Amino acid sequence: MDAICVEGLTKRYGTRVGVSEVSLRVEAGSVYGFLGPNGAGKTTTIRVLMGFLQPSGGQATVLGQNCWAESDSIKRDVGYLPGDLRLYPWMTARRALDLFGSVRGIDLVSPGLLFAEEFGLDADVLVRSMSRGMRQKLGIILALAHKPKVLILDEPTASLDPIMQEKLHEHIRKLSGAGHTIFLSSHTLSEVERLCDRVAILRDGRLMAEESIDVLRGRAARRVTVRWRNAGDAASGPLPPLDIDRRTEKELSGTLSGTMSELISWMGRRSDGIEDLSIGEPDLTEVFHGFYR
Amino acid sequence: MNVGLIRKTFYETWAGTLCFAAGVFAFQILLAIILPQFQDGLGEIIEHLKFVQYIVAALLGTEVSAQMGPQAFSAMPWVHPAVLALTWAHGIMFCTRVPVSETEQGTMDVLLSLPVRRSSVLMSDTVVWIVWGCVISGFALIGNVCGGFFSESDAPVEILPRVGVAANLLCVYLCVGAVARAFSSICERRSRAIGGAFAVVVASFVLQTLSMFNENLSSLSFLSLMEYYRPLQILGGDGWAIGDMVVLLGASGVLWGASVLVFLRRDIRTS
Repeated sequence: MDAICVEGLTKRYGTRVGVSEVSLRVEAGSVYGFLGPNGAGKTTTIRVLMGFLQPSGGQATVLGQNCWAESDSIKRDVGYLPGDLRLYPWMTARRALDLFGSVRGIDLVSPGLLFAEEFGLDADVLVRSMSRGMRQKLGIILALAHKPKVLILDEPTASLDPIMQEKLHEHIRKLSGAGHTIFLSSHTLSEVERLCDRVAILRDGRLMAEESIDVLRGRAARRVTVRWRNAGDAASGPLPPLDIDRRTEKELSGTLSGTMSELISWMGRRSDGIEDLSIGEPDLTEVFHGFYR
Repeated sequence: MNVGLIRKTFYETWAGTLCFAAGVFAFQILLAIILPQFQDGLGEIIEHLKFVQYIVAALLGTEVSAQMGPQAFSAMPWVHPAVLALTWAHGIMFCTRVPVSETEQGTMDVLLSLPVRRSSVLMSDTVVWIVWGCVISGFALIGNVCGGFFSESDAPVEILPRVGVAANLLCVYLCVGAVARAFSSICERRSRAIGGAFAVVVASFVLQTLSMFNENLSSLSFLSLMEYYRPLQILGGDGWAIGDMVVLLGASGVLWGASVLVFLRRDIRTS
């Protein structure tokens, strides 16, 4: 079953188009990355999913319910962290958990305080005295405390230190393993690469790609370096299937332009003179940047 | 309506409301003690200055005779600009919190990420608003009664008519708040919502005053809030001005309903 389903979603702000004809499906239990440069329409899509914006066209559903018409009941099972998180300055973490628990009709204080302890957040500090990172931690705790089936995170690791980022990643993996769905918008490509099963890439309000990370990895260029034993060998004989960008008398390096089997068969023909061959990990950054440009 | 949201609103607003209520109480008690002491002098000023007479009449909600009696003076604390300004200011400030201020500050995102209907957000806020309206009117009443006991006025301190004036003040408070709530629903910035509500209230008062001078404008005086605020009539024993209160409550209900409809349909954009 799809946890999130967006079909032909269009949102216009007067004459400006926020998103246009965006369609995507997020499988239950997966971690879904949502990428794109600033102003691409990521936040607009997320705000439609949260029922903050009414679609101009198309529709969006979360757990089979319409995001605009049934927004309130959807949120029983949704945890949300806004990209630009603003909390009430008079709140402490303890009070926030108490009040939000009272709104939800469940106890959020006990699980929330456990998260606070784990994330190193003092539960009795007023929001107005918190640093940006601390507020972000509180936002994450409020999104996680009720154990939502779907977690929508808009740039969650912004303003978190690397240790906290790793802790959050651990939680995301754990939740995904337990069958929860995570919809994550991010600018950090390495984060998306490490966490997500599938990604959608937006640009100028349009969906440029929607693929699994493995497929994108298959498309990603690999950096290959070949070193010969003798000077001058690099210039003689058939060249490897590379887009060569660096050449010395003993060494060639560049990105793989053919398939891996082509490279291996070339190696078989030239193996006698080769001293070393290194093949890098697929680099998704270039793939993402290709969609961004 | 949601108990958690009501608790949140109470927590956010109790301190400010108590300050406003204390201000209203203080002005009422002071005015109720001081004004009767100047009854003769003020009566003469009002008799000679027609313009002042019109303004006092606009405030009191009825024409005043040149010879103002103790009842007119006992009504004046209820229409003193300080008391009205505090009451209206609270209504406007409170009702421009949700939705416009929360949207502008970005906290609406957090609020609406909870499983509550938008109508429930407004309903919960409205419950607290009405309670605070009762508190402010109640403080005005207590202040006026206490001041009445300490004043040198010949008029007896009758409680029931004063309760009627406090109820009338509450209706005005609710109507001003409903105007502010309507602006709050359509504006993107709180300053604009406050400005709009303030402009309506001031225009309403100006209309009421001008209608005293101008025959043509007097036919429009039904549009003014002050037309339905009748402390002098109520204290004079003409009853509780139920009809005026119904008009104020009806207008409040219509404006409130319109604001709910707008809020249910509007986009909550990032600030």
